[in-house]
Amino acid sequence: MAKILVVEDESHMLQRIKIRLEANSYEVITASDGQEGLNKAREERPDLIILDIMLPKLDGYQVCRMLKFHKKYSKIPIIMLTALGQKDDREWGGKVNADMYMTKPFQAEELLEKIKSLIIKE
Amino acid sequence: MKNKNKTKKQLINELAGMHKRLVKYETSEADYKRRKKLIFDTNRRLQETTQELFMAKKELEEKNKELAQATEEWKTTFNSITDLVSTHDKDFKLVRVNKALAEAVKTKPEELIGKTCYQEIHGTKKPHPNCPHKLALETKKPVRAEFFDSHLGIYLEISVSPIFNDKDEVVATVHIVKDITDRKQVDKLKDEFISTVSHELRTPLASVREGISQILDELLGRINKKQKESLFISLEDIDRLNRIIESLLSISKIESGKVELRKRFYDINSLVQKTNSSLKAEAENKNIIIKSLFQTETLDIFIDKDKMVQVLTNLLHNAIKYTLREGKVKVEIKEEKKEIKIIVKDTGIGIAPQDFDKIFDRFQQIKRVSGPGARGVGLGLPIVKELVQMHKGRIWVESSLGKGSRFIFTIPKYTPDEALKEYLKDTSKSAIENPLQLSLLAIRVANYREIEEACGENAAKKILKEIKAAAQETIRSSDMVSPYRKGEVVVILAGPDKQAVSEIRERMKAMVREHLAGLEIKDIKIDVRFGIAVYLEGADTDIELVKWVEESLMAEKRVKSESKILIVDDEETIITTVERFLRDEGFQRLFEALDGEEAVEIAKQEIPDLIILDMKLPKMDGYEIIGRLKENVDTSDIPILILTGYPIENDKIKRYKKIENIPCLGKPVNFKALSRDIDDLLELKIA
Repeated sequence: MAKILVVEDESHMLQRIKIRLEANSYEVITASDGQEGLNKAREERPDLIILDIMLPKLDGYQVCRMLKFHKKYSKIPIIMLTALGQKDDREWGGKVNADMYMTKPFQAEELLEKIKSLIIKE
Repeated sequence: MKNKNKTKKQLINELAGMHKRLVKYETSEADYKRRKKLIFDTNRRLQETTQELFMAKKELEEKNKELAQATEEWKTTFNSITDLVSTHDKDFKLVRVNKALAEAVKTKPEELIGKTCYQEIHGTKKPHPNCPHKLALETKKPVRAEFFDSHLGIYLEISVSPIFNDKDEVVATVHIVKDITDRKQVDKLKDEFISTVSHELRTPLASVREGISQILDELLGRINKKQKESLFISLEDIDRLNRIIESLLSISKIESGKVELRKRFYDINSLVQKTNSSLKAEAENKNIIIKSLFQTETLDIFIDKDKMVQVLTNLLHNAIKYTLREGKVKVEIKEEKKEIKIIVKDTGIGIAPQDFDKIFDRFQQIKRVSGPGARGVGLGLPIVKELVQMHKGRIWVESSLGKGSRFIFTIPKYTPDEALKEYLKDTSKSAIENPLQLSLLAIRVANYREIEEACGENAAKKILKEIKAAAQETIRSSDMVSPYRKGEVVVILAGPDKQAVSEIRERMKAMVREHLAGLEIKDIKIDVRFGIAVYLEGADTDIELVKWVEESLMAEKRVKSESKILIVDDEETIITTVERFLRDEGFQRLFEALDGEEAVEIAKQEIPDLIILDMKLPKMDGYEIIGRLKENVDTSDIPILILTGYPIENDKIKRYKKIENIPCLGKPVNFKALSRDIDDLLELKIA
């Protein structure tokens, strides 16, 4: 069973995503701030990370960058969740290298498809 | 009499002359009277002239006063302007400086006059390479630029206007520098507001939507039909709410000028196909068929992909919305001389001619169509119009009531040159806040012409298409891939540092290899070369950037004839063979060394661009030579290519291959491989 780490500070959203993923046979671990997300990513080595952008302590970009530029964790696919509607400049101007983006609100099927395609690649 | 134009002296001389003549002759009474009158007249005229002179003097004084007044007004105005204003002559010397400028540089205006602007204002010994004054002198046109002065920590806008003499030469320029930090601050606040609202509205909406969706999908237990229907309606309402938020955010971004297009080359045909399929479900609900008509298989146009999707989605959504059951919607793409035309046709209720313009106005809903999800907030078309116009295109509608409508918009065509220039212009603008490093990767199919001749133009074009696709997969959204000259694809990377650029280059090579692996073209091996150029200074103006791109791409030819290569081998025959080969390839500056000592000496002296090194040498072997070269700071960066008779599997050499990244070739020399490796190593140093 594939393990997915969800990093999201809005507890409602976090709950929803957890339910959805578990219903689709994924094991879910959660974190509610950037630092916790980073720690759990390193400890648990999930098969995929769903990472919100607006997070306390460390924001999503920072977490993503730190994981992607470390040889050990760079292969973990990351889907970034954004409420900004369109790709924010920082995402690209910086060296973030997330694998995919999803905007909120999203269609569950789309998210599930993206997860499937990224986990297969590995 | 012409007394007016005569001076006092002249008049006196005249009088004296007359007196002389008077005295000369004997006079009669009549004569005497006549002469007396003459003197009287002359006297009167003299008085008049004096009067006139007096008036003229007064006028002159008046004018002088006015002039002094005007100068005083002008000077006061000049010195009251809070912007920094100055006039510079052709030699960069300051002619006039206002108080604001003098104060900004912490001195008095008098201290600056006659001195060079770059010294006094910028504190440099030479003018800046992108100095707008220089540019204005050269182009004879006004120049405007924005920049961030890190010294003072403020944003400035500079406006330079040339001053011409009557021979139409530029003799000086006027500079006006404005502090725009406030404006930038407001911009930033607007940005943050939009982001915050965006986030705060969308997050709870996302949670609610997912919650309802999960119940509907029965993830939380079974539900009955009625419950399902009710929840389905709620879901639709949420999506409607989301669309309204989208359009409000869209329009407010456009309003505040926050929307910037990120244009790249995209295949518009595939975008249309994607949009069509995303709206298929909605159309099928009403038994409407969506069709598309393209002239060619693919059509690359220079557009902002996300905005174009927004435009197409909007127009298609409208077409479906305003077409009653069982209708047809068709998207057609036509290529014309200077533009691309996209037509969205429907067999819907149509629009009355008097409303043709109104429909593009904000918050207008011309005809209320009943049915679920039909109401909107009236922003769709205004947004579409803005986005099309931002692309420098036009949009209009042709329609008749009851017969359907055709929405037509145009997008101008861009040549790769024009597209690159625009991209660089936009990049240099955003580079103002972050000093941006630009890197250029040129991917060239070296035997493009061969392939064209052997397998036809289409096959060759296909190769380029795959290379483009491979490059596009490797880059990020701030970068750009563009076709350039024949058989060439240019990639501009905005932002990554030197190391990241090398990594991207390697990734791209692998990606290109992968893509081309699928294409087996007759028996010709596709020879792809990669060249890098890195622009080290911060990007200042787009003109400089374009020059740099062109120069970098021209660099290859220069590189070969100017590159210095040192060949180190104890066997003369090897040296001769390699040299002959190198000369054939276009290399002219070749050096040779027969042993280690000589090699290190020449390396230190000439600092070659490449060293081809044999490993087995008398006195000092290859490893020692490499060691010595790496020790010396002048020679440590010289790329080395090992050409050795030793079996390459030898452990020591393997170590070099891995750690030092020194390519290794065996003897006898495989010239094709040698050529590739040399090209590789040298192209790393185009910058």
